[in-house]
Amino acid sequence: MENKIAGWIDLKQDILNESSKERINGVSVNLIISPLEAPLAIRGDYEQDVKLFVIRFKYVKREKLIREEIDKHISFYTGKESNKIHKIEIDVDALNASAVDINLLHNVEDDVTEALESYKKSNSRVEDSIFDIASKAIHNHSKDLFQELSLAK
Amino acid sequence: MWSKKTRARNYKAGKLCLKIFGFSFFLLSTIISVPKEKLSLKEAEGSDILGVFYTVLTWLQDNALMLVLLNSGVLMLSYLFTLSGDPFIKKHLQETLDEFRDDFFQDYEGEHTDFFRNHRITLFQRKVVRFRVYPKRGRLGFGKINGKCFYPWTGWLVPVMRSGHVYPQKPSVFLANDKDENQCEGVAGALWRAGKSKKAFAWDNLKQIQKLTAPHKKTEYAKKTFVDEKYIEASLDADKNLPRSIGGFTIKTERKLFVVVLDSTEPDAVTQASLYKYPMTMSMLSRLLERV
Repeated sequence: MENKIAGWIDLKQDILNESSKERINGVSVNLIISPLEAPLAIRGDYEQDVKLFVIRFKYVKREKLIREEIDKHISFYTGKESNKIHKIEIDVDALNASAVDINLLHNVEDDVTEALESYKKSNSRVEDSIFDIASKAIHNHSKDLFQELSLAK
Repeated sequence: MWSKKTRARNYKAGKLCLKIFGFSFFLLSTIISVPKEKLSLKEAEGSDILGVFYTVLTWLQDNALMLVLLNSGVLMLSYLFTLSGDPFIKKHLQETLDEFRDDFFQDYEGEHTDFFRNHRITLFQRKVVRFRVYPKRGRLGFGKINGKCFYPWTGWLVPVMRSGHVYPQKPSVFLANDKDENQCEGVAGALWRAGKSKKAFAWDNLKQIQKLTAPHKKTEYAKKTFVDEKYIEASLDADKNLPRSIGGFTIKTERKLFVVVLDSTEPDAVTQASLYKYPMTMSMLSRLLERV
């Protein structure tokens, strides 16, 4: 099912390309991330009222979220049951984003990727593949994702 | 096996038993807490109704232990009656599974007269103890697989529901050993293992297997579908149509683990991409399973 809601970027193809070969009972099988675990879509919005840039991941199942602060400017919202990353809040103003230009957009992406990496190392409960797909989704769709950020300023 | 109507009646009776237990428990604890001297018949002098009331209360206090035991029996009855689960949830689960099947295989509807038999969605639940494994072949839960013994308490994937209505054969039970990952049988078993690392898979374009198909092709098919050749032969003898595409995913609820297996006699019906087609139905399915 394609995402028809404006702003959501479909991730289905990214996930399918992420398949890995593993052996089960001596048979080589091409495994993909379970459709219940993988993010189906991603979007990025600059929220004027709170002055935060928010990256959201859409999953099959909604759940209660827990906020975890990675550093002073980046917070992760993870699922209470699954620990999957549902939302990333970035305080772009605090990241000296007052004069946004193309180079700074690149910096925000780097900051998020870095934060994801450090969160991946500190959190053993979430499968690495889930982090990788989140990181890849941000990288692959950075142009569309951070578009709102440049328009907001 | 009880009929749907009987199961629904049993569930209602179970719920009623639970209410009776709760009410009796509250009543008994209140009665027991009343000091015995206050129930003296002297206090009720001059009032017949109060006299009867005090006599009943005294009798209840004297027989409190027996009544508590009786009430425990009511609680046990409630447990037994509701053991087969809420029929309302099961009905909705069956409807959701049927809807899922209709949506998933909609491209093939009408092509075959046997749509329900050729395109199926089966829901397996992991259970620890199981004695009868393959109902049709009468295999018991003892044996050897991959050179290692298995027992009725090794861990199994038991079919709990299948899309469609009436099937001539019951789906099989597959081995799923939690302690030894190589002891898993069938695509359901392999999906259960893949699901441990939150992954899934689908085989498409499997070779068509019939009774007269060359043995090496049967062997290859058996290997790809994680079963032994005897299982394939038994399925062919029972005139089962062996799937040409098969896949699925696992659903983990708070207490239970389920495996959803989609299979079709069409070579391109179940593919890795198609597993991502119906997130809404999957979400509904996982929510309903929370209540099973």
